[in-house]
Order: sequence, then C-alpha cells, then structure tokens
Amino acid sequence: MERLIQLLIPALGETLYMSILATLFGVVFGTILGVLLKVTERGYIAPNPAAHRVLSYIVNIGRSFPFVILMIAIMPLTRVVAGTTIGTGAAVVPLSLATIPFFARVVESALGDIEYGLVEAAQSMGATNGEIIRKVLLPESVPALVLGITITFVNVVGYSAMAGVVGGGGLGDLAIRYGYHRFDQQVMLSTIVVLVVLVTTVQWTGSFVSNTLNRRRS
Amino acid sequence: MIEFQRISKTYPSKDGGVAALKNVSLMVTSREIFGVIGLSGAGKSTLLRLVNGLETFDEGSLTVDGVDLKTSGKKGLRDLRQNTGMIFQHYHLLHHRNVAGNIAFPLELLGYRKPEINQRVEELLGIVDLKEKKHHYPAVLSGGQRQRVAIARALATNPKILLCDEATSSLDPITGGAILTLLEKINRECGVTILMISHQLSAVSRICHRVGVLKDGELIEQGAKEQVLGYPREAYTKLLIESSEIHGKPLVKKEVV
Ligand SMILES: Nc1ncnc2c1ncn2[C@@H]1O[C@H](COP(=O)(O)OP(=O)(O)OP(=O)(O)O)[C@@H](O)[C@H]1O
Ligand SMILES: [Mg+2]
Repeated sequence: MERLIQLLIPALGETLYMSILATLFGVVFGTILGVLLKVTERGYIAPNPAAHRVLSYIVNIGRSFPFVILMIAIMPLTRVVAGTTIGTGAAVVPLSLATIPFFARVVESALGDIEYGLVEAAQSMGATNGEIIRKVLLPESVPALVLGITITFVNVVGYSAMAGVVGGGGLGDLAIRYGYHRFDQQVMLSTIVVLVVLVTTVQWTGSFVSNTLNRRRS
Repeated sequence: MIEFQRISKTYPSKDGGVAALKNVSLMVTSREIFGVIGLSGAGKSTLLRLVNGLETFDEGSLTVDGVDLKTSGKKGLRDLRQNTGMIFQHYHLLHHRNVAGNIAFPLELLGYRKPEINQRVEELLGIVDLKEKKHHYPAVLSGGQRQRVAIARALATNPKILLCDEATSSLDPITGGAILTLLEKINRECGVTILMISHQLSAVSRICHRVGVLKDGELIEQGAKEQVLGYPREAYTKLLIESSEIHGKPLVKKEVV
C-alpha cells in the first residue's frame, strides 16, 4: 500500500501539473483563435474570408496530428520554449499546442450558438466589435465554455498519458512502466482507478458549475 | 429628422440579386410616429435597418438627424447609433444580465459612472413600469415584459429616434396594445421620433400619425393615417385594409401576413 502511494502521488502530481497548465494555455490561446475564427466568418461582425480560411487551415492541421507525432515533430520548438525537450515541463508544450486548436473549435461553436440578434442589438447601441466580443459574445457563452473547458481538460489528461515518451511522467507513464513492462497488475489497476476518479470529479464539477451558471440566469 | 431620397437596395444573390428597395423617398419629421406597412418580404425591415446602418444601400441618399449615412464614417455612425434606439420583434435581451443590467448596457458603452447608471436605470424602470422586476433575468419574463425591458434599454441614452421592427408582432393583442400605448406615451412625453414597421395594420393604425405602404420594395403610397387608411388610393392598400380587422368591419380575425 505504502509503495503504491509513493508511486501514485508523484505521478498524479505530474499529470495534474501537465494537464492544468496545458488546459490553461489551451483555453487562453484557443479562445483568441476561436474568436478570430468566428468573427471573420462571412456575414459575421468582421468578415474576412481570406483570414478565416487561413485560420481554419491552421486549426485543422493542428487537430489532425496524432499527439505522439506532434510531440516528436515539434521538439525544436519545445527546446526554444521550455529550454529542454524532456521532462514534465517540456511535455506541457506539445500538450498546449494540441489543446489550442481543439479549444478554438469549442469557442467557435459556442459563439455560433448565440442568436445573431443579440449582436445586432449591441450594434444598434453603437457597440464596437471589441465591445461586442467582451460584453456580449464571451459572457453570453460562459456556461457553454465551462463545459468546453471540462471536455478539454479530460482530453488533455488522456493525451498526457503519452507524455512518458518524452520523460514527462504522469499516471499514464506509470501504468505503462509498471503495469505493462513489469506486469504489475496492482499498479496498473490503481492507476486506472485514480484516473477514473480524477476524470469523474472534473466532469462532475464542470457540469455543476455550468448548470449553476445557467440557473443563475433565470 | 429621417430623410430617404430615392433609395435603392439590392441584396446580392446568385441569380442577379433581390431588389429589396426601389427608389424609395420618405421623410419622417421630428416628433412624429411614422408607420410603414406591407406584406412579408416587401422590404420593411430593410428600410428600417438602413436608418442606423445595420444595412447599407446602393443608390440615393439617407440623412438621419443631419448625418449623411454615406459619408458619416465609423465615428459618425457610432454617434448616430447612440442617438437612435431600436427594438426588435424578438427583444434580443442579454441572457447573462438581469433587467437592470440589460438597461444599463448602452450606458456602460457610453462610459457612464455607476451612480449615474443606477439613477438612470431607476428612472427607466419607472417609465416602463417594471420596478419590481429589476433583479429578474429575461428568461423568467413574459414577452410583454421583455419588450418593456428592450424599450427601456433603447431609451437609456435619451435617443431622439426610436426604430421599431415588428415590436408587437409576437405579442397577444392586449399585451401588444399596452406596448403601443407605451410607445405613444414615450413619443408624447419625451418627444422621441418613432419609425415603426409592422405587417399588423392594427398596430400602425393605432398610434401612427403618418403611414407609408411598401409593396415589393416600392413605397406606393404615403400620407396622414386618416387619409391613407380611410381613403386609400391604391388597390393594394385597399386590399391590406380589407383583409385586416380595422375600420369598423371586423372580419374573422385574419392577420396580414
Ligand atoms: N440579408 C439578406 N440577404 C439577402 N436577401 C435578403 C436579406 N434580407 C432580406 N432579404 C430579401 O429582401 C427582401 C425584403 O426583406 P425584408 O426583410 O426587408 O422584408 P420585410 O418586409 O421586413 O418582411 P417580413 O415582414 O417578413 O419581416 C426579401 O425578398 C428578402 O428575402
Ligand atoms: Mg421584417
């Protein structure tokens, strides 16, 4: 038992470290990218077909890379950003990079669910595009974005299982090293249990927050 | 106050475009209520949305409160919009703000301070008679109450002009009637010029001073309400009147749709 805890606690710490940081970066830059993607759409508030097409390509390319390959392919970038290509910190770079385009699509779709009439009403009051983004689009979509962040985080936890490839550690790495390479069923099973509890807790919290926000609007 | 001169507007489409407005000339004078009626697709919404630049036009000229919309520029348009309120058939209130927050929105855009905003919001709640709903969210309000909030929001910045796009078309006759009465009061007491469009002849006949009739993008008739609705010149106008419930011969209730 003691042995298990000594293995699991640091691994959980690494997983949380990588996932939280990557989700954070993913949400910040993904929001910017997603907003740009939406507002440049034809017939929206800042239509720009060329920019929209370029952004959309970037997002699609980013999303079509299998994560393991992305991780290896961007090593030069990782070295520049993190100073090294191995370790938990280094793993955050590819994780963030994989998260940004995913969250961009989450944002784009959340904004798409907002009635365009709200935007026109704000325009009729003289709101600028910046004001529309800050005071209409983003606040209106907060409950949807909270759910999106939840899904994103769960996704990142999944990706982070592959961080072992670059020495990132974490629960996935633990399961592979002990459970797979050393046939240690006990470690394997307890890792799975911890992951299930982690994902369930996050999902439950996300749904709860989103529902509470929605209920507060009535 | 609002002057359309030979305005034409065509929406681009694959087969050469849809002519939504054809050579429309119309003058709305200060402090009047002008109503435009017409069937669905006649171009009413397009006409209204030109006034605050939500839509652009191809030919002619449009002057609103001394501002020429072709040359106003971004800043001019923003100023004009802050001087022009607009309400919609489906209200378009912000779900994430309560009643007071929605009314405060245009004031925040203008950079008013908190105490000023609160004071003005209270005043407006009084005008639209919604003081006790101040902290409620739009989701729990009735259609009539939502439209009152929208009216308060549109009036927040003390605009000279109020544009109404089918403001009562989603409401039952009694609730819609109350909204019309409120608009009339706002026109009378605050001196706000109102341009309203509706396919409901009853709404227009109830509060408008002057009326215009749009048919397939052309303004075929305009004048004092009593004249246009009492002694219509055009067959089309007669048809609109005959198929509506106004003028002492209530037919089976049949909306002009
Ligand atoms: N954004 C648009 N793009 C293309 N065509 C449009 C657009 N908006 C309106 N039209 C067309 O222009 C014409 C006039 O539309 P408009 O919405 O002004 O009519 P309306 O009188 O307000 O009708 P309704 O009573 O149904 O609201 C219609 O033929 C419509 O299909
Ligand atoms: Mg319309």
